[in-house]
Amino acid sequence: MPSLTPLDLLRTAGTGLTGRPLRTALSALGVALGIASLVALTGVSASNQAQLLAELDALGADLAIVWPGSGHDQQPLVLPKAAPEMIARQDGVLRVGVFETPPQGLGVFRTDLMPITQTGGITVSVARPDVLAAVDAQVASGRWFDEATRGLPVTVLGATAAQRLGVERAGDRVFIGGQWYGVLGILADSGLAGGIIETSAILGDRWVRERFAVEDGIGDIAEVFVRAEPGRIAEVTELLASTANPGAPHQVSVTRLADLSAAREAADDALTTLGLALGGIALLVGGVGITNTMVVTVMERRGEIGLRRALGARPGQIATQFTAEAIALSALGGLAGLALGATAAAGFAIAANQPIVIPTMALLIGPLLSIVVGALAGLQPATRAARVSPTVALRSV
Amino acid sequence: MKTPTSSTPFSPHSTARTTSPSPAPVLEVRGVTKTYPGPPSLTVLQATDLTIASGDQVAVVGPSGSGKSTLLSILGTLDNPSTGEVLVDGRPVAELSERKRSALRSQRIGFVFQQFHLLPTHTAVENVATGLLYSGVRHTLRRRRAAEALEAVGLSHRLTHRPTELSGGEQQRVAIARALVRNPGILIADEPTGALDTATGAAIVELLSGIAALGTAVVVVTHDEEVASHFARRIRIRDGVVTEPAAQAIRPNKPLRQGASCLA
Ligand SMILES: Nc1ncnc2c1ncn2[C@@H]1O[C@H](COP(=O)(O)OP(=O)(O)OP(=O)(O)O)[C@@H](O)[C@H]1O
Ligand SMILES: [Mg+2]
Repeated sequence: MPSLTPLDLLRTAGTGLTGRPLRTALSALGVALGIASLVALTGVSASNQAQLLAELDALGADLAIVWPGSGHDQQPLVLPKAAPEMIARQDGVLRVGVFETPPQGLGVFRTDLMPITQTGGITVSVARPDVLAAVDAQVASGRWFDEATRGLPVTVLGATAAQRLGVERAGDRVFIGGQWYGVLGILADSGLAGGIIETSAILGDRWVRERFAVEDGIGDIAEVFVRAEPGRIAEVTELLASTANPGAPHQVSVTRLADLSAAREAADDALTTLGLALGGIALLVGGVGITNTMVVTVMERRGEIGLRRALGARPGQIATQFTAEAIALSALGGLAGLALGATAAAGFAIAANQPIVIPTMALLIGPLLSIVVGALAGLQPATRAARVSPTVALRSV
Repeated sequence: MKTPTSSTPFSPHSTARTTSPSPAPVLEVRGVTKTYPGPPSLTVLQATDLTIASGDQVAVVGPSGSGKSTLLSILGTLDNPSTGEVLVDGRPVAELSERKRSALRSQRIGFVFQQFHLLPTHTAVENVATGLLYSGVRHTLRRRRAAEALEAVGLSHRLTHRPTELSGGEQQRVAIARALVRNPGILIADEPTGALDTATGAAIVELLSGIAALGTAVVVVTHDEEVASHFARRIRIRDGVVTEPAAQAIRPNKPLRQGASCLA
């Protein structure tokens, strides 16, 4: 039984579209905009992320973190007390900053009236004064800990923590673990330790050691931030474990900050989501537009359909022809949208001085989506076309 | 299903049939009626019997609304009769599946319409090639045979013209070439001269009756007695009643002019 070759089908569908170029262009516009917004916004998002990673790599290039490892039974080990001083003396190390183990179960609140369970996601960290310089953080308001204030009931808030608590400047007070603390300072830019102190209320090490002396682990080292001289991070990192604990280097974990996956995955998903939402809506509208056009086309071309049936086309072949036309229409829009979206994303990246990134997924999914939309949009008109009686060719249309 | 692969548009077997003493009927209609279900229901064709053999030249004459197009759509297997049966090459059409019936049309029946039905985006040769699109013929072969068919209707100098660049008579010739390119057993034309002036129409009639001489049965519907007078058999239809008077004198047909050698 003869059936059309794919090429014949393409030729047949193509001539339907070239017959009315303006209508074709207008009908494909919706799908084009849909794919364009999809590609553009995912592109911008990817470009942002690439920029973020580039900055992270640049900033974190000479930073490493030393953590206590865990033993065979997954029990946390302890770094020797002398580790920070020994690391600071290691060749190639510029600065160190030490976080100590915080007391457990401390809630941080704006007032003493909040229920204990509502912590607002704010954690408590304990820092020695050397942390600020080591991690490159900036103070927005007030001051950082010094020899005097590290032993007082005061706190320095991370930017997010301050915002959540509603604290706008130093001098305010907050309620931590059942006690009032004065706000000594608020950090602006948390530098590279952002993930750790952004949402933290930071307490002075000496105060914590005195006030919580009886608790487990108080005074132990939680993390040592190590800043190497420029370009020497690799050699420094290699020796850090044995410097920190010469007797048992395997009990020490060392991570270069640039390798932290948490930082790498901190992508801007909001833009991608927006792109998907906008693209989805535009595709829906575009699909409806194509259905409309195809319904009109089928009505106008009843004579042609009758002729093709008289020439021996089966109803299925008529349906296939019009489905192919709808798909071609939509794919045309998809390709135009791809070009438009990619251009927009590239334009944004150039304007923002960021790397140009168009996600391959968007490049693949865009055209695929437009084909699916076309097939769905063409379904009903194609079924209609297949039902046109071959006798219409004999009637004056 | 057989696939025509011959490169000549009109294979000699149908010509051979016309020379035999009693040609096999290509088309038979037995007790066919057509009633359009209303309301009100309308009986357009009364019990009709008709036998058309290879090489027959048939004109169907009747006033407007008499049921000519209805009869033609049934003869061309485009529509089903309400009762009775239609046989093409001796096979009852009603028994065929939609698929087989479509294939039968693509292999055996050519159509020519009053309003040409040419595709406006296609050139003459592309339009004619469409006549083979559903017959399983390769693209390149389709175009070659289309060019040959256009030559046979005297349009070899208009291959790449689009319908809007052709006169009415030329457009109808393209349509006839599109029907002929399939080398059909029967060619059915509904008012082929209806949209043409008298002189142009006469040339088309001459072309059509010439085709019958080559073995293809030609059935032409017309309300024009002058057109009908060029065909050997004249069937009259009035209010759905089909009558065929005894054979009448026919105007002599000149042989096909351009490309006639190609058709032979
Ligand atoms: N699908 C249909 N449903 C109902 N009635 C129809 C249908 N098609 C045709 N008719 C009626 O059947 C009658 C015959 O129509 P037909 O088209 O066969 O006439 P015709 O002889 O070809 O006329 P004309 O010379 O004007 O083309 C007309 O009265 C017409 O109104
Ligand atoms: Mg009619």
